[in-house]
Amino acid sequence: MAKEKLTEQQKLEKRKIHRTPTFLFRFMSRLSKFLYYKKCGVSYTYNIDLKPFRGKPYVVVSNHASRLDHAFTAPAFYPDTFNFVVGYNEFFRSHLAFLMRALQVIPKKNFVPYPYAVKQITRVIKQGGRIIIMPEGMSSISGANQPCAVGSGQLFKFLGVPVLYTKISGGYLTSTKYCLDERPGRVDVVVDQLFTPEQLKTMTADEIQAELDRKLWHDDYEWNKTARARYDGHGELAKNLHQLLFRCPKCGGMLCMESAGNTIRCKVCGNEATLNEYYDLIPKDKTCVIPDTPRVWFDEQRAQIRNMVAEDGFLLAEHVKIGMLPKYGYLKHGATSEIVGEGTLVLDREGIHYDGTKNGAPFSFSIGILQLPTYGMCTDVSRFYTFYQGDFIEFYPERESAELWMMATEEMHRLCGGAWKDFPEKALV
Amino acid sequence: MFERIRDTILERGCTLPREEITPQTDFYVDLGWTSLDMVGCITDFEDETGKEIPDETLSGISTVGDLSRVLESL
Repeated sequence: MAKEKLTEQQKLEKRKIHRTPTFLFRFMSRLSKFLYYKKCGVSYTYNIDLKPFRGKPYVVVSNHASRLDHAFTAPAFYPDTFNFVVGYNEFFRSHLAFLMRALQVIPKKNFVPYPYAVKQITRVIKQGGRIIIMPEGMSSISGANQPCAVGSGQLFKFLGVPVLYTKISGGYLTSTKYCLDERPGRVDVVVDQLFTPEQLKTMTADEIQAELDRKLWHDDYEWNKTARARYDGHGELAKNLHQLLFRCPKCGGMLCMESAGNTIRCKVCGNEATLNEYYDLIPKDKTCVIPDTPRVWFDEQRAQIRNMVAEDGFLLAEHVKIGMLPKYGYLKHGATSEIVGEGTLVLDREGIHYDGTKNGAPFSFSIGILQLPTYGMCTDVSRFYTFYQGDFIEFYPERESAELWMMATEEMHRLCGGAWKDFPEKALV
Repeated sequence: MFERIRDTILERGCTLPREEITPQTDFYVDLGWTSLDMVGCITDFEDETGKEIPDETLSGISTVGDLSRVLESL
């Protein structure tokens, strides 16, 4: 009988991950440094001596500023080598697929339970290896952190090896989530220790989780108020910013912002601001109502969405296309999924519900709100994904509303008693 | 095997009454387990039986019944 051909997913999960190959990792680390160090103005500050850690097992965590973080974190610890933990879907993108596998990168299905990744992390540490993981699970949306994924504290306590960290400042401003263009300027990386094995033993998992959130907290816009680093945005610093800042702070309109060049404005009331090379938000005139920074704007939006989802009968519905990962082969031309159907997506207090098609046949599913703390966003803020019964499903909303969906779902999860809480108020001040 | 899994779940601090743990009980939805809880449980079984649960089966385990089937197939 002919053997059935394994799908890419099956092949990926059949792999036992081992320590990254030393020569290849060091070569890639050097290459990253060569490509980004000078170009992005990277500097390192060491608050600890790394010599006692060299060659021994430890974990490195970092705030997840951007998709370039691999180039800012790993070179800080050279010549030590690491297994990175990276989003599962990235393994299906043709330009990354080979390197991810060759470097023994560990795939992780973000924001859903995925014991495969934990088992691989444990194996690498037991083999005497080291891990780099971004416990937020996704690169910063707003320029500041989101809370670490549930279970991060429990994982580090279980591993019991030293936890070091890098704090990246300027990484988001170099490559924002709303526009992935590289904007060289300045990146400061501080290296320090977060937990000793003794501390991990005495602290509870919840205490470790809270300390992670506290130590990794960073706001790039706030940082640059004093750092005053200039970023080369090629005259397009506000490009796609309206996808992130979708609510007008003046008239309260939703999804009514537009952006081009360095400017963002409301299509309804004309409220307008410009971003300069320091990412300062400058109102067009005295009648304009513009928050202090894009991050403050983002958080004000969240407060509005929190009120909206708390209203009786709240419901968000939109026509979407859905994309999935290929069964065989990889995604090409920068794609993050293959479109396989379309239908209506609804968010209510129960969770999300999709009703439409998949590969030409009727297809519907629901995910309970307690199982859905947030979505992933593969690249920018134009689409979002989650996993249903282990399968990656990406939503392409008809409107430019991915961030609205994300905030509404996160706040609904929290309102309904979900485990993934927001930062405690004032804890990060 | 089902009874053994029930014992393990209760040993791991589950507050549900024993009779409410059924083959349909979902580790993540009903018991609030994390990935690490699952790996810990699986490691216990591996240590006890001396058999390794293949990594590729981990994603398919979400209920007590799923785990029972995987363990019985080893």
